Amino acid sequence: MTTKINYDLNIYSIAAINQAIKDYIPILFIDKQLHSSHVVQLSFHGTAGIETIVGEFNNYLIQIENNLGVK
Amino acid sequence: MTKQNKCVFTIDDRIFNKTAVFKAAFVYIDHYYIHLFYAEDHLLAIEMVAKSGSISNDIENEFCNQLLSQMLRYQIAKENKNIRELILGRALYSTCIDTALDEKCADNEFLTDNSMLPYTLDDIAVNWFEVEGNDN
Repeated sequence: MTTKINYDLNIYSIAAINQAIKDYIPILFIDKQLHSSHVVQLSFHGTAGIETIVGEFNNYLIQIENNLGVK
Repeated sequence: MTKQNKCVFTIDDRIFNKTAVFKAAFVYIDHYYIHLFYAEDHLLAIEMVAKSGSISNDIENEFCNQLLSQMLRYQIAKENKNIRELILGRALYSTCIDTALDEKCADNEFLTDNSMLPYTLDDIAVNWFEVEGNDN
């Protein structure tokens, strides 16, 4: 099962996205592609219930952007 | 009739700072999954999905109030930045360097010469037993 989510680089910093990917790689497979000049598309591959993990990933990004990136 | 567990609304990024949006979003991440994206130019969309159960009816209004609160905090922090740094710098400066003597000197100009000080190093750096004697 694959879920694709776009992240706008005008909202999220590339450093935060990379940090979140690095921390979530042990949990699920993630592909990163440049969708356009300012949008990164992440593809999350996993089993059922991946929406929950993607939701946690989004919340984790917000934590990192608030300089509170502690899981 | 089933209640929705998802809510999407937009705000203008020319009014609300991105930092304030992130701080407001952080308040809700315990109960919601939040994703931010641009719906149109300058229209920042906020997607909130309830972690469990249905989403609150007035979550959009609550988020907007939280956003106003965070925006106000951001503006006040920006306005008070200089004075906060000044107070902190002054407080740390006085803990590192003994400024008491400097302040006395400033008050009494005649104390600028060391010979005019009320004590010298020889008065202080002596063995207490040599002065008071050893009664034991």
